[in-house]
Amino acid sequence: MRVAVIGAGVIGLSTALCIHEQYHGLMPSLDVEVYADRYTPHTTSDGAAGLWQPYVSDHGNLREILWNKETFDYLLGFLGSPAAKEMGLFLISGYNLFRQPVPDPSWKNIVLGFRNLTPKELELFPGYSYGWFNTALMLECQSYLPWLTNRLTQRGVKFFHRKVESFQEVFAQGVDVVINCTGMRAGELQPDPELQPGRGQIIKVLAPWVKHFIITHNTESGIYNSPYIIPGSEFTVLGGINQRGNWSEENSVQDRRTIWENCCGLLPALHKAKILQEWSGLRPTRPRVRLERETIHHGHLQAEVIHNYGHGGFGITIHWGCAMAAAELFGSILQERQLGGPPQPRL
Amino acid sequence: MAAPKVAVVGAGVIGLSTALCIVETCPSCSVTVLADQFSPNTTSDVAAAMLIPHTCPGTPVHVQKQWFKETFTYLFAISNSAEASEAGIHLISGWQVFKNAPKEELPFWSDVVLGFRPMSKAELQKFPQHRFGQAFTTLKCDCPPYLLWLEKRLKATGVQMYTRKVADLWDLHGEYNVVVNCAGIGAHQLVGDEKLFPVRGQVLKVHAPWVKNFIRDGDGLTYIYPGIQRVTLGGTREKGSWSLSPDPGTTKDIFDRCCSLEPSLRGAQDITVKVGLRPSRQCVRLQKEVLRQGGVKLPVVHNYGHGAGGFSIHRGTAKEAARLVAECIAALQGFSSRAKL
Repeated sequence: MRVAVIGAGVIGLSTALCIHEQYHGLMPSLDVEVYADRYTPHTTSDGAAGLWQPYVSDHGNLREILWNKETFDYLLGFLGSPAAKEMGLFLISGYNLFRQPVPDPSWKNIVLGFRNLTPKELELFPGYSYGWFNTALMLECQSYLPWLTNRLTQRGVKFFHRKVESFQEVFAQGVDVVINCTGMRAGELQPDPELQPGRGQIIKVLAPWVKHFIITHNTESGIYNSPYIIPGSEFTVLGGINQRGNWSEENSVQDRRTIWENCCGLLPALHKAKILQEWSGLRPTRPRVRLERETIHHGHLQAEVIHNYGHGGFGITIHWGCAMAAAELFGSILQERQLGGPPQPRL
Repeated sequence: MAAPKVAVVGAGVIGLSTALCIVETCPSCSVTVLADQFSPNTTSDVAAAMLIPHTCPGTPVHVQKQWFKETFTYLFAISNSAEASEAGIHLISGWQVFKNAPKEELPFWSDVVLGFRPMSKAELQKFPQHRFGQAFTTLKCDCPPYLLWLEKRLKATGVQMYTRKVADLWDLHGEYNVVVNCAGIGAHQLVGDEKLFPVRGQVLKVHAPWVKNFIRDGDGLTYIYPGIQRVTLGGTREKGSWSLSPDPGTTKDIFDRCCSLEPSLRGAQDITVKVGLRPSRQCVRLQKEVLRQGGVKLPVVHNYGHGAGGFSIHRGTAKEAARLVAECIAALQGFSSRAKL
């Protein structure tokens, strides 16, 4: 059985690993391959700061809430292990700031030590009258994607540097199941009007005295369209741009100015920070994640696609829950083809 | 009296902050700092400089709290300003964990730091050997940056600073009207204070930039304090030891204890070892004294003996010392105007 995972961002690599971990032992003839035209450090995932945090108001999507929790708990389990540093995984505390009181988020009991901000803490952030403090996780893809790649390579998964133009092209080569983790460019393989870019731009700076993430929220301008500051292990990310429908991956001078002024307004000491680099990327935004099976007819055969894309600005946050859900769908495919035996319980 | 001349002996956090407070409260004073060591070679440079007070048994709690609050407020304002990174002041959140129930559920400083609360069960799971914990956000003063920033502020106001080993405070009586003794552990020899004793602390400074939270064992012996460039791992409390040489066995012990609190530290790089002698005393000696020899007087203000908690109360004690200096100057001026009659 040949499985091709298309896409090598956090979604593609983690889904490939999850499927291989769950089924290769049962089915040694399972052959998993990864196809992508961009690998780390050139994927969308690489540009993300890496903070585990879902959007602050979900649309009551229970599946997604569960996948977020599964991802957090899974990562937390790695914290005390030697792998954590190699994965780019560590704890981080910080602030979410609002201009008016808001209901607690669905993830308040997932993160650690969630509480409201005290009046004295709010003094640090003039203009914001309400907020949260909690401890969450950082998962830096510049480390995590290579870590996933190593795990996959050790398992014998092969990587191909190639742009796949169609599902048919892959099926014609004898692949049985395609896992579609193409993120922003899923529309090129199959039109999807619900998938839209949420263009982001960031400035990476050296500001090692910043130890907390600070995320501001503006209900009018929308999620991540308000300044945020996220300190990583090597640099601090300044951001606050989320432009729906903008496909440009070029850095905009105007956006840079907006980010810089707004973030320095939040933390005046940033004026002294050394600027390292700018980056723009496209959040693969969708009303909900597309995680489902599709049977594709090619010739007189039928082939299976498992779609796993549209994770917007919360791909890292939700990735492992989605990988497991995709693996479960894969399990049903095996079951139907009577190759995998009875469905295995989720590990 | 024309511009009173004040000498501050000592250029650690106590000496420099006291000099600054004197300048602020007595603009007409001419202040000079004299020390045999300046940053980066002071005891203060070794300290992690976290704002978490230590209890001094000899000082009333309300006074300790006042000193801590003044210090915290002062540094909080700097941390929130454009000068924060140059001054080395930053906010940091973390946990104090206990194997056994802490003596006090609410330490006197719990309402001065930010967001103090007991740790949740989920947070405690990260520390399987500990059963209780407190979570809060406080401030850290990175040294040398903070000391260098104080020196810069002092120089900007015209304060002179000289490397000079003062063997006897009386030696200064001809050149200065008031002497302020901020000699820290040096006071043992300088003024022969037998009540002052070293508590030796060895620490490691490591490169581990992914550690963003502090972790402190409530026993005060094991701690992980992330600074701007380095993380300080500690430590030891060796009462009566004067040795400034790092001990390799201690280094390994500190590293192991910290790794058991935070396993990812096994990947720490560039480990350097430092030793400092905490200038410990039953209580801070913060008082006036008049030295006399043959009819000549030299008013002295002592401000030393801050033990393990110097940074936490430095601004509060500096302000008190500056008040005492003002009293000395007023007394001298009263005396000199009486002398004119």
